[in-house]
Amino acid sequence: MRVLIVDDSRLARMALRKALPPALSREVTEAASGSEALRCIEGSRFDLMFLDLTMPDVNGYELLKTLQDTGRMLPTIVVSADVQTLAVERVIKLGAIALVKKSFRSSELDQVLVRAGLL
Amino acid sequence: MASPQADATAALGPAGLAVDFLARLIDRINVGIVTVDADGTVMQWNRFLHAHTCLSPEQVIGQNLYDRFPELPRAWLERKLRSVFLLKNFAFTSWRQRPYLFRFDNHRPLTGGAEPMRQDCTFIPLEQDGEVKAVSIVITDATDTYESQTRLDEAVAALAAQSERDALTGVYNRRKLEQVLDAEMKRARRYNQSLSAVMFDIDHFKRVNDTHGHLVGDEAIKHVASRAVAILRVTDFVARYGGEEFVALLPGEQIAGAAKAAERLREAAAKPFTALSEVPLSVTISAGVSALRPDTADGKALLAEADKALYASKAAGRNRVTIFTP
Amino acid sequence: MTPLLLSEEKRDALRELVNIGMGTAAAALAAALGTFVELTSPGLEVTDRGSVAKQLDTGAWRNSEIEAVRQPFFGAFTGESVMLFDRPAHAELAGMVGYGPESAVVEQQEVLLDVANVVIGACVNGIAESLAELVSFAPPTRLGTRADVRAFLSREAVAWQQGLIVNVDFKLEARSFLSRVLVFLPEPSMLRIDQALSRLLDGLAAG
Repeated sequence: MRVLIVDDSRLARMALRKALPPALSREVTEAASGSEALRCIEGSRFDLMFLDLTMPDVNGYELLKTLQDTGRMLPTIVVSADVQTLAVERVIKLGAIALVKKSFRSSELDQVLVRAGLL
Repeated sequence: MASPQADATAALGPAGLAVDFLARLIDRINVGIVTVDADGTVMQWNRFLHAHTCLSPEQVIGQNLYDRFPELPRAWLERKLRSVFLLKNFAFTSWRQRPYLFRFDNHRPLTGGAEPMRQDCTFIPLEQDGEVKAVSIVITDATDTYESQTRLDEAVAALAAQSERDALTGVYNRRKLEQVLDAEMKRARRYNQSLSAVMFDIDHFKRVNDTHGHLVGDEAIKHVASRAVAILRVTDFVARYGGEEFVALLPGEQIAGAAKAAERLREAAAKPFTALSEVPLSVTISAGVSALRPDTADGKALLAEADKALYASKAAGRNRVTIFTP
Repeated sequence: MTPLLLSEEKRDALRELVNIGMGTAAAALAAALGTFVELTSPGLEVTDRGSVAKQLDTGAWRNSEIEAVRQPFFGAFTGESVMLFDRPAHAELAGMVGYGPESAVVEQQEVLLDVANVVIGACVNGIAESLAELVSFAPPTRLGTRADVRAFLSREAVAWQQGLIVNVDFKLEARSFLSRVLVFLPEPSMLRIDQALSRLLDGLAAG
């Protein structure tokens, strides 16, 4: 599976990469911003995207909307520090599969992947 | 297999005490502790609270806190507890913002007045399986601190009322000026002496504040005040009359001499200075001068004339001294 | 001036830890205020005490009427945090929890204390938890206005040479406020954080 990780924090990208199960760790690309992610998606096909919400230029919400509008939507799991109910609703409406709380000690990621049929 | 009784006393809670000792400690400690679950049902109620409400644990545990104590500020308390349940963080209240949570009488042996107990509260999340299942509210009697603070505040207020000086510049304050003005008027009349007044303020002061900030503005005020004190005589009075406005009283000085002094002050104030040891600045002042005449009604009238002259300085372009002419 | 201890990589890491903490805080505040809360920490600087003071007199804070709250913390690392609000924040937050303009000043102040408790807790805990460390908090108290903050920086912050400045953008639906969290850490605590960050980063880099 070709995986794209989008987050402006290098630490977060490292942590997420480490948390991925082996099945998803073989082909991983990282993007440090919303615009970089768009460029990656335009250039290659990805099977799964992990997306942060709070990024400086094009944030997570905007990226999802752009992908929806241009018909380039791909299976997305939002990984974010912001876990308000309203945030979850917003990202689901924009086409994401789920919202997972960012944490260095979370086992939530595996559960979500299983539920989504990606594992 | 050990007997159930041996198990109970052998079981150690946190901090190494047997669990039943811990329970006794919570019950007897000299602060109030009440624990509620997410629905507001009371789970625990200690002796301190029993003593202050005459309600035993049996009468409170299992009931809804707000039903049992309708005088509690429900909306505020629910919000407060909700944030502890969500965030797993301690929360606090202080008597300084909220005098008390539960209204208890304060039981001071000798001085116990009609005032209710002042309380500091701490809200403690109790977690299980990663979720907050209950919150304990610890209620501490803060009445002593409240009483000390009140006495302190009263002493400070009394002191301030007697104070003569302006805190920022060290020159006299307006209240003192008005007292001095009265006294000097009386003396000048009795001994047939001169008395002059100079009213001056910083030109375009608002612009200084807007450009450089309030702190630099304060420095400008201090600068002008210090020039005034340096230039005027020991027997002259300099006071801060308003924000950036000053009044100087010159006993024994006639109007011409006062105008000369005002001009020297204008020059000195206009010299560049450094604010906060890095901001180079210069300001100008406008001044109005008046002097006691046989027909001057009182101190207020003397100042009013200086004020009119100050206004004329402003109108004529600022950074100048104007003498009042009747 | 003491050389700043944290490398760029570690500062980036700290920024992310604070961000995670802010997410939790936003959720709690959203529930408390009954509205969508956006808390972002776009900037985190490691700086010295003098710069902190200077920054208050320049830029966005220059003409703000400041209301400040202070809260000490202790445990794995010890220090003190100060949260700054601008005047509009004060009134708006009080309004959001249902206090009208005629309500007592102390009630409005209490809201600031509560919000500061949540945000400072999130900021400092965000760092502590991710580093698997334990930190406890003393109650927050009102520090005061700009003059009081200045006095605090010149007098009481003497033990702390280095500090973190975390700019917290606080958006409530349509309204947005300026706020800032300052975290003052004495050198031993900065060192502990530096070491804990090393452990975290090494752990992530390894296999």
